[in-house]
Amino acid sequence: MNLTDLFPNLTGENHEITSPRTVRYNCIAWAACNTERWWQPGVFWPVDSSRNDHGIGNVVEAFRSLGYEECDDGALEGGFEKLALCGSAMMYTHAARQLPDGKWTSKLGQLQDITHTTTEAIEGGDYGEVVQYMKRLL
Amino acid sequence: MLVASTLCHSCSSEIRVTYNFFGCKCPSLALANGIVPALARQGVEAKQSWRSDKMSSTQVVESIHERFHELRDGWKSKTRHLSNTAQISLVFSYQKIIGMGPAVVPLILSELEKEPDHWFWALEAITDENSVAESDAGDIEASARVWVQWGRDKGLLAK
Repeated sequence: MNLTDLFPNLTGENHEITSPRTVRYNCIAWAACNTERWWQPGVFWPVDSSRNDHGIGNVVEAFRSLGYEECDDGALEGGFEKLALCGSAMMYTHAARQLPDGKWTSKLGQLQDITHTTTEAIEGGDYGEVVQYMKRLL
Repeated sequence: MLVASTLCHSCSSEIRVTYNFFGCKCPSLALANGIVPALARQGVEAKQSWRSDKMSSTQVVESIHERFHELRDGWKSKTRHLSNTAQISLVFSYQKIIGMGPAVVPLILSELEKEPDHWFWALEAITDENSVAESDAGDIEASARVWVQWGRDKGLLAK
């Protein structure tokens, strides 16, 4: 199965695979620049959390603890690193991190890392849509 | 398999009872054991649903294997791209695997031996155990090794 089969907005032109597949880390870890653990509430998570809290608020709190604060959009802003948090049915589903050139990088579950030109490229399907942007000073 | 409706004697709620018969599909077995006549005496409606092939104990085991592998394949195909462990574990095929109960624990452990994956939710739900140390939390490969060793210690996997 190709990645474009899993993501309705992903095309051959708007993304590039940048790593092999691995179950070692997930998108939340990758957004936090960690490649050693699968980040999961109540199991391995930067803030105290119930194992049952998989809501969007919990992932916002997690990234607040890492120095991020909520912001309005994903436009490239000098001196800041931004995140795009996706959600569906009140659960967080994905986090993407913005690169210095304005593109985004995402770890797709157990699959590969990709670079994608817009956050819309990974929206839809099981990932839902971007529900919150965050930023922190570089 | 015989499916029958009856009533709880405590709360009078309607309940469905499933009887599985192995080795023979003849209705006369049920009659000989007195199950259908007993239910008939209680005035309940019995619905018969027979498998089309004979079910020896070997075939029951094979059936569990087939069912597990079918559900496993469906689960993996739907969740490889997901990062939220709850989203991964709430997929219906995974829930059905949990519903198969202790019989699938050796099968899950065999899967972990071959490839670390998010079987921990199912294992903990079925066994009510979790030997993964905090130092290994979030380390999928280490957690898999812990569970595989647990399985060997319990005699569920070859050492």
